[in-house]
Amino acid sequence: MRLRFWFRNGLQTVAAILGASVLYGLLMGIQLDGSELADVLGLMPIYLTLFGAIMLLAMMLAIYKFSLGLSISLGSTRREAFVGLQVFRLLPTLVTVGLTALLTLIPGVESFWGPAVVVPAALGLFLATGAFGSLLGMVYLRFGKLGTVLSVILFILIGINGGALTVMAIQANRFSLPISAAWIPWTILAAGALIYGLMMLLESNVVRKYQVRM
Amino acid sequence: MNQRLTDAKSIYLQISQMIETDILRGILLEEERVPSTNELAKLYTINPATAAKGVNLLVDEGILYKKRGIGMFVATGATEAIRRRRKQEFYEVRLQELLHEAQSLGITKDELIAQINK
Amino acid sequence: MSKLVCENLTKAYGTKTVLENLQLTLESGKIYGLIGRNGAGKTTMLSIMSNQNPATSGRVTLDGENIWENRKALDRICFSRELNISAESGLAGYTVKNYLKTAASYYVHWDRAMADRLLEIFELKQKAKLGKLSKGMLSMVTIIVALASKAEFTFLDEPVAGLDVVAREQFYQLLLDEYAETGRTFVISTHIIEEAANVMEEVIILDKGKILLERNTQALVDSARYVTGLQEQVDGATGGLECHHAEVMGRSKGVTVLLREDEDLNPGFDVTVQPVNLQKIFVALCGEEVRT
Repeated sequence: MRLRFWFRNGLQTVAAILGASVLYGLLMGIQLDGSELADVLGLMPIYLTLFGAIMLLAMMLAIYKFSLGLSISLGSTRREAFVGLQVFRLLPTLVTVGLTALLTLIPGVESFWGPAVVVPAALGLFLATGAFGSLLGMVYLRFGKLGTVLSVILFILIGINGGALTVMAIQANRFSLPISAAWIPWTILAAGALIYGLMMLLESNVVRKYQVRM
Repeated sequence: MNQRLTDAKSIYLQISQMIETDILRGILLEEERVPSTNELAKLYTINPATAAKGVNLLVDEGILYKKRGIGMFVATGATEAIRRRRKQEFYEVRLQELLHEAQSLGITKDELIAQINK
Repeated sequence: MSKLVCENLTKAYGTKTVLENLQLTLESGKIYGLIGRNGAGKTTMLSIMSNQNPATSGRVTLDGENIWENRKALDRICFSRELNISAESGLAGYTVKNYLKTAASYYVHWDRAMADRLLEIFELKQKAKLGKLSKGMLSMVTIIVALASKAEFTFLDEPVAGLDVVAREQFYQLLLDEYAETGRTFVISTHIIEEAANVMEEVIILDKGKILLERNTQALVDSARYVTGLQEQVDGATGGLECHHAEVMGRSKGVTVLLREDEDLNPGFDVTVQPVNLQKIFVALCGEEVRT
């Protein structure tokens, strides 16, 4: 298994996520008068999670657009590329989530949530966004630029309507949430893992049939 | 007309010799129109000026003549004229080269004649 | 001696057949020239022979083993693709250094020192972005990948495209240096046929998805004659022989003849016989019949 290419890309993504989060954290710290390092660190888990998830999503599109073809055109097997894609998504996921958990454990830093909440929730979010970006990437491979734009619009519409319906349903008290608040992060993780799993099935199929056309 | 150009000598010389050979072989008949310089240029993918130079060489020698507004024609007696000139060239150039080569190889005149008669 | 073999390769994109039941055997230790018109299927063939594209049917074997997804076999094969980079392609922002690094991470026998030396010879900047390079410079990058890969079977697709005449000669010299030193097998596709003719030991002519001919280059050139003269005379001299691309103009006729071993033109006819170079043989075989 030759995975050096994917480890390198994964680590670069980790660096980009950390860089963006630290930069943003510092900017916010300067703006808030009289804030201390501890306050900034307290917000870092949120920045890390949000930047991480967004960047992973964006990177997956680029990965599908050219890294996959590039690796196979330079002698990678499809099997290696498939495993490499998992490495590429899971490396930033695990590093960022791990770092977030560590931050919440620093004594004197007041985080919104403890590691028991942050770890499963962030993990689930990363898995879901990584998978979602990959799905868009596959849509791009199959249907090109227009298809990707259309599916993004479609997803947004579904999201807005679904969200609105949920809110309306809750407000109308038709039904209460079937789970207690403590289970929300674990539900997110389960949903993320499910989406990731389904995406992997599709991905193995797409990569197995991949044709280099550059 | 179908022959190909080589790098060995000037293109315009090859053009004029090709036309001559075609006349000798009866591919171009006397009083028949020959391809225009533009046609020749297209045929061999060469510059029309180069083709014109080759054709003009034959005009100067009286082998081709121009009919104003119609084109270039093979002159009557051209076949004979070409044959006469090539014969002369053969004796003056090719034969001399041959004899020179024979001399340097130490072939005597009698040996040479014996070979030809064989 | 190793053999890379295409067995009944067929490749179709949708309803369009690009390769049709193609058979080819490459023997190790030779430089092959691959020539064919645009769209003949050269790139597709090389892609399938290097696991970059799957075949619709048929297979490629290296010493009897299917190369598809076969790590061991693929370690002996490198196909350095022609780089066509548009501004919107993701590769446009990739640097020369990153491209070579990626190649190095897959080709086990990668020769870093050689890659560095070639970068210097070609005066390429490592930090330059691929999108900013000229066509010729992109060709140089693909040449570096091919040579530094040290793969036993190395394919180059149009390596001299966009290179100036000096750089083209330089490329063939580098290629011959490498060949003399290692005896690797190279397959080189090119449209500038005459420049490559003396470098290729074997020539493969691909036409409309089929192998039209695969022969020793010198033997092929030696067997070819271009015969011209009065039509009847030419027909007499070439009757019963393998004739291609006959052109008739008035009473004149020109035809390319490929002689088999022990064959010669029929004697006793007044025709002009000229040698034919590889490029003209290619045109005779793949060009349209009869043009006036």
